[in-house]
Amino acid sequence: MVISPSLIISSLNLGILTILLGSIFFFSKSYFSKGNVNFPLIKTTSACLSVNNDKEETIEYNSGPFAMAILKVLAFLSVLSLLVTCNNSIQSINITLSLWLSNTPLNISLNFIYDQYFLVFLSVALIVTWSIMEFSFYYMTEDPNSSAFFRLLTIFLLNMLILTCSNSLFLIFLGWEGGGFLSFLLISWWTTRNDASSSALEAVITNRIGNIGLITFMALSALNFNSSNLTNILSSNENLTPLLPFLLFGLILAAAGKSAQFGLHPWLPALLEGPTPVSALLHSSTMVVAGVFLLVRTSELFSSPLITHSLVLILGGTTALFAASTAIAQHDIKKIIAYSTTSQLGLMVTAIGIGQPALAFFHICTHAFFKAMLFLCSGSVIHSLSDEQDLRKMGGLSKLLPVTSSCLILGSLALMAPLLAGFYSKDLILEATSASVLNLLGIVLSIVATMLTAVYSFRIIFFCFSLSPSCSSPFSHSEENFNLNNALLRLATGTIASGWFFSNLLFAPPSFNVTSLAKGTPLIVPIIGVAALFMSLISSTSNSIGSNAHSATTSQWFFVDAVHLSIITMSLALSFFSSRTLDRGWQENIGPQGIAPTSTALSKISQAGQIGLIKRYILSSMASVLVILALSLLILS
Amino acid sequence: MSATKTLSHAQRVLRLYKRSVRHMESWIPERPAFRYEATVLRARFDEHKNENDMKKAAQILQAGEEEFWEKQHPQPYIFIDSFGGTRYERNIPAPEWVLNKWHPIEKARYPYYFARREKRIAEEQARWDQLVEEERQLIEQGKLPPKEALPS
Amino acid sequence: MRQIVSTFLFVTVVSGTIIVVSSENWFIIWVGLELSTLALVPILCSGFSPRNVEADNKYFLVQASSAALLLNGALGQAWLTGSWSILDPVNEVTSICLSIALAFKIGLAPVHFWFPDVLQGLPFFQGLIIATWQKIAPLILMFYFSQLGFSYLLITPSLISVLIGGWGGLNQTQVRKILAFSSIGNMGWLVITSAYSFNAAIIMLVIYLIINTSLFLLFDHLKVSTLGHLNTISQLSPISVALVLLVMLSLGGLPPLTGFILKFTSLYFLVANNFIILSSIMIIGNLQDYFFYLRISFNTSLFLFPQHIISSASWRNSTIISPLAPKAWLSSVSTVLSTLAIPLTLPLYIIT
Repeated sequence: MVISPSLIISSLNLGILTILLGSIFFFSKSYFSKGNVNFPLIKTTSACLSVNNDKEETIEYNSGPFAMAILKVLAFLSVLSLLVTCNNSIQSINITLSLWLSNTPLNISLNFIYDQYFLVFLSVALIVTWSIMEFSFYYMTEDPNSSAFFRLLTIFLLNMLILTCSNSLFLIFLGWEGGGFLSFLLISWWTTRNDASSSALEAVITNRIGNIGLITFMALSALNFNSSNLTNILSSNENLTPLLPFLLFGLILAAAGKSAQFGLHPWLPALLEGPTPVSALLHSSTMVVAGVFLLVRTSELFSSPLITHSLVLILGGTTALFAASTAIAQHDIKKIIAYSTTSQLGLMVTAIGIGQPALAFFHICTHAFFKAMLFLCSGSVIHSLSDEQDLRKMGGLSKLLPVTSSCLILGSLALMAPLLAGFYSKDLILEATSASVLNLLGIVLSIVATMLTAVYSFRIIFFCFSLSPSCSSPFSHSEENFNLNNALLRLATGTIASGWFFSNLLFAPPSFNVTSLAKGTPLIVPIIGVAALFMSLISSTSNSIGSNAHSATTSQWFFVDAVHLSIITMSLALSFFSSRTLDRGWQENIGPQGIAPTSTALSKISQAGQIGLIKRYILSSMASVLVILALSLLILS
Repeated sequence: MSATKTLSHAQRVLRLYKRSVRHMESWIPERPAFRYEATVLRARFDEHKNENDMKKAAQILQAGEEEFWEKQHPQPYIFIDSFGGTRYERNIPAPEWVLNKWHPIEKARYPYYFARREKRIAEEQARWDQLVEEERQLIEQGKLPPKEALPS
Repeated sequence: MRQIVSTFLFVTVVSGTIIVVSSENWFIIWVGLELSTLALVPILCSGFSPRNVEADNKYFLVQASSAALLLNGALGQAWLTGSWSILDPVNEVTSICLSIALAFKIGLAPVHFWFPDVLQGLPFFQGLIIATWQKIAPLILMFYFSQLGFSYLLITPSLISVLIGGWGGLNQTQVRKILAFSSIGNMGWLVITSAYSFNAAIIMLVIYLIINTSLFLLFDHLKVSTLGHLNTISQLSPISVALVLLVMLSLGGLPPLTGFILKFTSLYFLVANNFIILSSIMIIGNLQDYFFYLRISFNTSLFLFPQHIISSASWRNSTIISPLAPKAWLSSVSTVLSTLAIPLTLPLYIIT
């Protein structure tokens, strides 16, 4: 065969990356009829490059439709390459484009790896981003600067793809940092909002903590394996024992920072200050899974010490339980979904903790579909209620927003009903948890988290659709926008079909021997949760007022308050100490007050030599040469 | 205006009532149930409406504020455009007077708009002048009380 | 000076350098060095002001004495080994003689005193010849020489000259003296690298010559003799503000600019040879260099001095040079090379 499938795949994927990179720089042109009285005020800030006042129409340049079209094409291309992989069972293709910095002991190269993980992730990410881009064209029409918004989304996607496809740690770091930076820009999209700016800062700072982990890993592997190539590092035969704990610590810290594991989680709910498409793209389907993806890629390192497995397992289980318990008492619709994301991330990390990275990756893929859809549904609700986000002001929306409400119910069911996407992966993870011998705590945590998942999902459904309408303003928008409906329905199709597709055609899920009780658990537990929810909802009209349990979960177990208080106290004490000893102590004396006078004095001394007499020049030259010679003879002899 | 003012008793009662109703609304999303509870709450306030003994009234208010503190909602509903709301300060539009600062070259890009704007400003100014004139005449006729400093 | 005479002199200067670079006989090398020195002397005093003549005299005296020292060393070498070849192993005494002579020629630290003084006395264009072209021949000899292995004699003066270059420039307000001290510092970097890698030193030499040429040509065009004149640049020629800024930062070694490769190559080889402590001393010296580069950049681009209306309107009187003049062409090419040529240095790196 002249054209090998690996050639097709690598050229397709490289092409996709290149086209995506190029598409950032283009606009699409659209014509608008003129008739807007407030024209300059609204349009000066948008990308309105040329205005022809004599004609009846104006030209507007917007990158939205173009980005949508490009992503559509790229999504089809990526599905094509995925299908080629399906047929040919390709393990992985390793491409080295060029050496970045040669001639150094550490070879830094542009190194891509196209394995099954990347190919599946590519298709999922492109389809989801395509839908989200369509949705945001609907959602962000009234934004004065929407063109830049689409471009930022595209750049973000590019960074994410670089992160997932690269084999070189430096490229991974590039994508990692790029994602963090773009998320900063996108969260603070409404820069005039104080809350948005502070949330963006929070996200960046937490990501920095995660970066410490990644940099630790990079530095140690450069030191130890003399390579930045992930494949080399993983397959290296060197004796790792002394450094392994530090390597693993770096990885876990990086993953915990990026994927919002317990302790570093508060940034994820805070990110909802950004527009809803941002939440859908970054904080549910792509960026937050970067940490889990890194763990999946490096999971071979985790194989030896069992204690790391337990640590990761407990970390994931705690996150899942914490986030789920917090989600059941939130009142912001986006916050519920965000905590649900955190909970699912905890479940993915649990899957890595029990030594099943493939299952974690499977959950990433299915989770991307239904979580993006949930966010888009909430965005549709929010947009229809003219930016109202509070769950208490929604109600009876099922008659007004039929498509959105059915998609929302589908997304909520996806985690607990069989044959929907989330169930495939979640069921497998729970099964693997009960089959593994590691520990009981992880199992209990994840099962309780599963129960709570059902509770918060049904709480959204209950509040949005079953109560009588209580929205304050008359209904302004309708659902008749193709960009909204197409995006939602496409993701809904993904939610229904992706679990089946991935589990049957792509992954070969491992099989476990479990008892029928353990097998039935994922099915039974949500039903118990839903029953408990309805019981509590029926009985709770007035007697829940002031209940301490509710307040505690609503305030996220007072985690943020406690941590802020302790950290601030500690750092104030430390900074007082350091300012007394360093800033007003020896550092000042040596540094600013020491170096400057010293170099001024030395400079004056050396200037004194410039007297302009050639005789003395030659004399002093000869004298200093003699001094040097004498000294060197003395030292060397 | 000083930053902190001592509130009078009546002000404190009214504020407590408003906050209580708002927090109760946050606790109970169902409108009928909320209305029932709100009526009950109103009745509790009305019960002591005619309390004349200031000492006792102060005690009741103290007890009420403590009860409110106990039962307050951890995430009360915030209107989206008010402080802390989800749309607060989002995309603050540039104030209209910014257009006054535009350079003539920039203004020349939108001749129709600015022609219309100039006309509108002139009309507005004329209307204001007319209003001032009418008021002055009314004052002179004695139909309105005189004002301190009218623009002359 | 008549054009035919100056052309003849220039050709002699160039051919002297070529003779030195291409021969391996000590005597011929001496002849080449003397040839270019003697031909340069009339060129340098073509302005014929007293200060000019004084600088020219100093230059001649220093060059003559160093050439005498070189010939002395070469004779000793010939006497001991019986051949004039530079490839023969050197004796202690002759090596000391030869290296001091070469250090005199390029202005390394303990024998650097003449260099700022001479450069200050000359116009920029003549200074350009001294600071760039006249350095090629002795530096190439020095690079050859350091392969023969007596590195401590080169390393100590180079370290001193890196530091002296920094300290000397810190307190200067004369642009030409600052350039001279920065040149002394850079000579230290070049020589110290040549002790470890001949090729790296050649790369550094090429890049340094390009950057220095563009800097001298720019200042020649703008006619700034002190730091106080720098602020009029923005009135005289706004584009030059960016150019001076970029070339200065490039000379300092800011990463995206060409000069970064200069420092990177050097430090790479030094660190690879476990020269870590001494290379950190060199970095400190370079930091001081960087301080006065930044001072020039700030004065050029960021500060607005209080000034008289006449000087702020002086751009009206400035002569507009034609874009086709050879000097303008040369300065634009060298400026582009000295700021943006980092992709070109990579093949240079691979070839060597």
